[in-house]
Amino acid sequence: MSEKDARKVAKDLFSLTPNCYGHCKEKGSFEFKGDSMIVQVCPNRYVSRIVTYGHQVDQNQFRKTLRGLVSGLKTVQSGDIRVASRYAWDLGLKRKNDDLILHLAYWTQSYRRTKDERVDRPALFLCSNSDSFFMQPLNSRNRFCKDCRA
Amino acid sequence: MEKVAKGLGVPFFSYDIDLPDQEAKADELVKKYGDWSEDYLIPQIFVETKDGKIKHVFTGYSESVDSTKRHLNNLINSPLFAR
Repeated sequence: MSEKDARKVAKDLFSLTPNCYGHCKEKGSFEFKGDSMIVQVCPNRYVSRIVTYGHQVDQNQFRKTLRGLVSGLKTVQSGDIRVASRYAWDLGLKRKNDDLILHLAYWTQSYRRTKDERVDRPALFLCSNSDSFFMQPLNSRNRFCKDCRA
Repeated sequence: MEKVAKGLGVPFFSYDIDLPDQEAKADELVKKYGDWSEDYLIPQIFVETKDGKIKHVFTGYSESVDSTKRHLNNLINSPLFAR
Protein backbone atom coordinates (compact mmCIF):
# COMPACT_ATOMS: atom_id res chain seq x y z
CA MET A 1 0.00 0.00 0.00
CA SER A 2 1.62 3.22 -1.13
CA GLU A 3 1.13 6.68 0.36
CA LYS A 4 -0.78 7.56 -2.82
CA ASP A 5 -3.19 4.69 -2.20
CA ALA A 6 -3.50 5.71 1.45
CA ARG A 7 -4.45 9.22 0.33
CA LYS A 8 -7.11 7.86 -2.02
CA VAL A 9 -8.61 5.72 0.74
CA ALA A 10 -8.51 8.67 3.16
CA LYS A 11 -10.30 10.83 0.57
CA ASP A 12 -13.10 8.27 0.37
CA LEU A 13 -13.21 7.74 4.11
CA PHE A 14 -13.52 11.45 4.88
CA SER A 15 -15.97 12.31 2.11
CA LEU A 16 -18.86 12.25 4.57
CA THR A 17 -20.59 15.29 6.04
CA PRO A 18 -19.78 15.47 9.75
CA ASN A 19 -21.66 17.30 12.44
CA CYS A 20 -19.67 19.99 14.21
CA TYR A 21 -18.39 18.73 17.55
CA GLY A 22 -18.05 21.01 20.56
CA HIS A 23 -19.40 24.14 18.92
CA CYS A 24 -22.62 24.36 16.89
CA LYS A 25 -23.57 20.83 15.67
CA GLU A 26 -24.09 22.21 12.14
CA LYS A 27 -23.09 20.06 9.20
CA GLY A 28 -19.56 20.72 8.05
CA SER A 29 -16.83 19.11 6.01
CA PHE A 30 -13.41 17.51 6.10
CA GLU A 31 -10.85 19.63 4.26
CA PHE A 32 -7.55 18.14 3.08
CA LYS A 33 -4.49 20.29 3.79
CA GLY A 34 -1.00 19.54 2.54
CA ASP A 35 0.15 15.95 2.15
CA SER A 36 -1.44 14.30 5.12
CA MET A 37 -3.67 16.59 7.17
CA ILE A 38 -7.46 16.63 7.31
CA VAL A 39 -9.34 19.38 9.13
CA GLN A 40 -12.97 19.07 10.18
CA VAL A 41 -14.63 22.48 10.04
CA CYS A 42 -18.18 23.74 10.34
CA PRO A 43 -19.73 26.60 8.30
CA ASN A 44 -18.51 28.99 11.02
CA ARG A 45 -14.97 27.60 10.53
CA TYR A 46 -14.64 26.13 14.02
CA VAL A 47 -12.14 23.25 13.96
CA SER A 48 -13.66 20.12 15.55
CA ARG A 49 -10.88 17.73 14.58
CA ILE A 50 -7.52 17.55 12.95
CA VAL A 51 -6.49 14.18 11.56
CA THR A 52 -3.26 12.97 10.05
CA TYR A 53 -3.03 9.82 8.01
CA GLY A 54 -0.61 7.60 6.16
CA HIS A 55 0.61 4.07 5.94
CA GLN A 56 2.42 4.99 9.16
CA VAL A 57 1.85 8.03 11.38
CA ASP A 58 4.26 9.58 13.84
CA GLN A 59 2.33 10.71 16.92
CA ASN A 60 5.18 12.87 18.21
CA GLN A 61 5.55 14.62 14.89
CA PHE A 62 1.78 15.18 14.76
CA ARG A 63 1.86 16.68 18.26
CA LYS A 64 4.69 18.99 17.21
CA THR A 65 2.76 19.99 14.09
CA LEU A 66 -0.34 20.80 16.16
CA ARG A 67 1.72 22.79 18.65
CA GLY A 68 3.19 24.78 15.80
CA LEU A 69 -0.14 25.77 14.23
CA VAL A 70 -0.95 28.62 16.63
CA SER A 71 0.37 29.68 20.02
CA GLY A 72 -2.90 28.62 21.64
CA LEU A 73 -2.12 24.97 20.93
CA LYS A 74 1.25 24.90 22.67
CA THR A 75 -0.31 22.86 25.46
CA VAL A 76 -1.32 19.90 23.25
CA GLN A 77 -0.12 16.77 25.03
CA SER A 78 0.48 13.26 23.74
CA GLY A 79 -2.63 12.18 25.65
CA ASP A 80 -4.73 14.48 23.47
CA ILE A 81 -3.94 12.40 20.40
CA ARG A 82 -5.62 9.09 19.65
CA VAL A 83 -4.67 6.63 16.94
CA ALA A 84 -6.48 4.08 14.80
CA SER A 85 -5.55 1.41 12.27
CA ARG A 86 -7.85 0.95 9.33
CA TYR A 87 -7.96 -2.40 7.61
CA ALA A 88 -9.39 -3.63 4.33
CA TRP A 89 -12.11 -5.54 6.20
CA ASP A 90 -13.55 -2.57 8.09
CA LEU A 91 -13.19 -0.21 5.13
CA GLY A 92 -15.11 -2.68 2.99
CA LEU A 93 -12.20 -3.12 0.55
CA LYS A 94 -11.24 -6.37 -1.09
CA ARG A 95 -7.49 -6.86 -0.71
CA LYS A 96 -5.61 -10.12 -0.52
CA ASN A 97 -2.23 -9.43 1.01
CA ASP A 98 -2.40 -5.99 2.50
CA ASP A 99 -5.04 -5.92 5.18
CA LEU A 100 -3.65 -2.86 6.96
CA ILE A 101 -4.55 0.06 4.74
CA LEU A 102 -3.70 3.14 6.77
CA HIS A 103 -3.10 4.62 10.18
CA LEU A 104 -4.86 7.69 11.50
CA ALA A 105 -4.08 10.01 14.39
CA TYR A 106 -6.86 12.24 15.68
CA TRP A 107 -6.82 15.44 17.70
CA THR A 108 -10.29 16.54 18.79
CA GLN A 109 -10.80 20.06 20.08
CA SER A 110 -12.75 20.14 23.35
CA TYR A 111 -12.62 16.37 23.63
CA ARG A 112 -11.15 16.42 27.09
CA ARG A 113 -13.47 18.07 29.54
CA THR A 114 -11.95 21.24 30.80
CA LYS A 115 -12.72 23.40 33.79
CA ASP A 116 -13.03 26.26 31.35
CA GLU A 117 -16.64 26.10 30.22
CA ARG A 118 -16.91 29.78 29.29
CA VAL A 119 -18.69 30.42 25.99
CA ASP A 120 -15.98 32.91 25.10
CA ARG A 121 -13.01 30.67 25.87
CA PRO A 122 -10.24 30.67 23.23
CA ALA A 123 -10.84 28.17 20.43
CA LEU A 124 -9.21 27.14 17.16
CA PHE A 125 -10.71 28.23 13.84
CA LEU A 126 -9.60 27.91 10.20
CA CYS A 127 -9.77 31.01 8.02
CA SER A 128 -12.40 30.96 5.25
CA ASN A 129 -10.07 32.78 2.91
CA SER A 130 -6.72 31.11 3.49
CA ASP A 131 -5.31 27.99 5.11
CA SER A 132 -4.44 29.92 8.27
CA PHE A 133 -5.46 28.68 11.69
CA PHE A 134 -6.29 31.29 14.29
CA MET A 135 -7.61 31.54 17.83
CA GLN A 136 -10.63 33.56 18.83
CA PRO A 137 -13.44 33.34 21.39
CA LEU A 138 -15.56 30.23 20.90
CA ASN A 139 -18.73 32.29 20.47
CA SER A 140 -17.29 34.63 17.83
CA ARG A 141 -19.01 34.64 14.42
CA ASN A 142 -15.92 35.91 12.58
CA ARG A 143 -14.64 33.50 9.90
CA PHE A 144 -11.43 35.23 8.88
CA CYS A 145 -7.92 35.32 10.28
CA LYS A 146 -6.33 38.60 11.25
CA ASP A 147 -4.51 39.02 7.92
CA CYS A 148 -7.62 38.45 5.83
CA ARG A 149 -9.66 40.82 7.98
CA ALA A 150 -7.12 43.62 7.46
CA MET B 1 -19.71 -9.13 18.25
CA GLU B 2 -20.95 -11.48 20.92
CA LYS B 3 -23.49 -12.85 18.44
CA VAL B 4 -20.78 -13.29 15.79
CA ALA B 5 -18.58 -15.17 18.26
CA LYS B 6 -21.51 -17.36 19.24
CA GLY B 7 -22.20 -18.12 15.58
CA LEU B 8 -18.60 -19.14 15.08
CA GLY B 9 -18.61 -21.19 18.27
CA VAL B 10 -15.74 -19.33 19.87
CA PRO B 11 -15.51 -17.72 23.34
CA PHE B 12 -16.22 -14.00 23.64
CA PHE B 13 -14.75 -11.65 26.21
CA SER B 14 -15.63 -7.98 26.69
CA TYR B 15 -13.70 -5.56 28.88
CA ASP B 16 -15.36 -2.32 30.02
CA ILE B 17 -12.79 0.45 30.59
CA ASP B 18 -15.17 2.17 33.00
CA LEU B 19 -14.94 -0.76 35.40
CA PRO B 20 -11.64 -0.66 37.31
CA ASP B 21 -11.26 -4.45 37.47
CA GLN B 22 -11.65 -4.76 33.69
CA GLU B 23 -9.78 -1.63 32.69
CA ALA B 24 -6.36 -3.15 33.43
CA LYS B 25 -6.99 -6.10 31.13
CA ALA B 26 -8.27 -3.81 28.37
CA ASP B 27 -5.22 -1.56 28.74
CA GLU B 28 -2.91 -4.56 28.53
CA LEU B 29 -4.54 -5.82 25.32
CA VAL B 30 -4.52 -2.41 23.67
CA LYS B 31 -0.94 -1.68 24.75
CA LYS B 32 0.37 -5.01 23.47
CA TYR B 33 -1.66 -5.50 20.31
CA GLY B 34 -3.89 -2.52 19.59
CA ASP B 35 -3.99 1.17 18.82
CA TRP B 36 -2.50 2.46 22.03
CA SER B 37 -2.52 6.04 23.17
CA GLU B 38 -3.03 7.42 26.65
CA ASP B 39 -6.74 8.02 26.04
CA TYR B 40 -7.24 5.35 23.39
CA LEU B 41 -10.21 5.03 21.08
CA ILE B 42 -12.88 2.44 21.81
CA PRO B 43 -14.14 -0.06 20.95
CA GLN B 44 -11.12 -2.11 19.96
CA ILE B 45 -11.61 -5.68 18.83
CA PHE B 46 -9.10 -8.52 18.90
CA VAL B 47 -9.20 -12.11 17.76
CA GLU B 48 -7.15 -14.99 19.09
CA THR B 49 -6.23 -17.57 16.47
CA LYS B 50 -5.80 -21.32 16.90
CA ASP B 51 -2.06 -20.95 17.40
CA GLY B 52 -2.61 -18.52 20.28
CA LYS B 53 -1.71 -15.39 18.35
CA ILE B 54 -3.71 -12.28 19.16
CA LYS B 55 -4.57 -9.93 16.34
CA HIS B 56 -6.09 -6.46 16.49
CA VAL B 57 -8.88 -6.17 13.91
CA PHE B 58 -10.85 -3.01 14.66
CA THR B 59 -10.77 0.40 16.33
CA GLY B 60 -13.77 2.70 16.68
CA TYR B 61 -14.12 5.77 14.50
CA SER B 62 -13.57 9.11 16.19
CA GLU B 63 -15.64 10.76 13.45
CA SER B 64 -18.97 9.50 14.80
CA VAL B 65 -20.86 6.60 16.35
CA ASP B 66 -22.58 6.07 12.99
CA SER B 67 -19.21 5.65 11.27
CA THR B 68 -18.18 3.13 13.91
CA LYS B 69 -21.41 1.17 13.37
CA ARG B 70 -21.08 1.21 9.60
CA HIS B 71 -17.46 0.01 9.56
CA LEU B 72 -18.09 -2.54 12.28
CA ASN B 73 -20.78 -3.94 10.04
CA ASN B 74 -18.20 -4.21 7.23
CA LEU B 75 -15.95 -6.13 9.58
CA ILE B 76 -18.70 -8.53 10.64
CA ASN B 77 -19.58 -9.25 7.01
CA SER B 78 -15.97 -9.58 5.86
CA PRO B 79 -14.18 -12.85 4.96
CA LEU B 80 -12.38 -12.52 8.30
CA PHE B 81 -15.46 -13.84 10.07
CA ALA B 82 -16.69 -16.14 7.33
CA ARG B 83 -17.81 -19.49 8.67
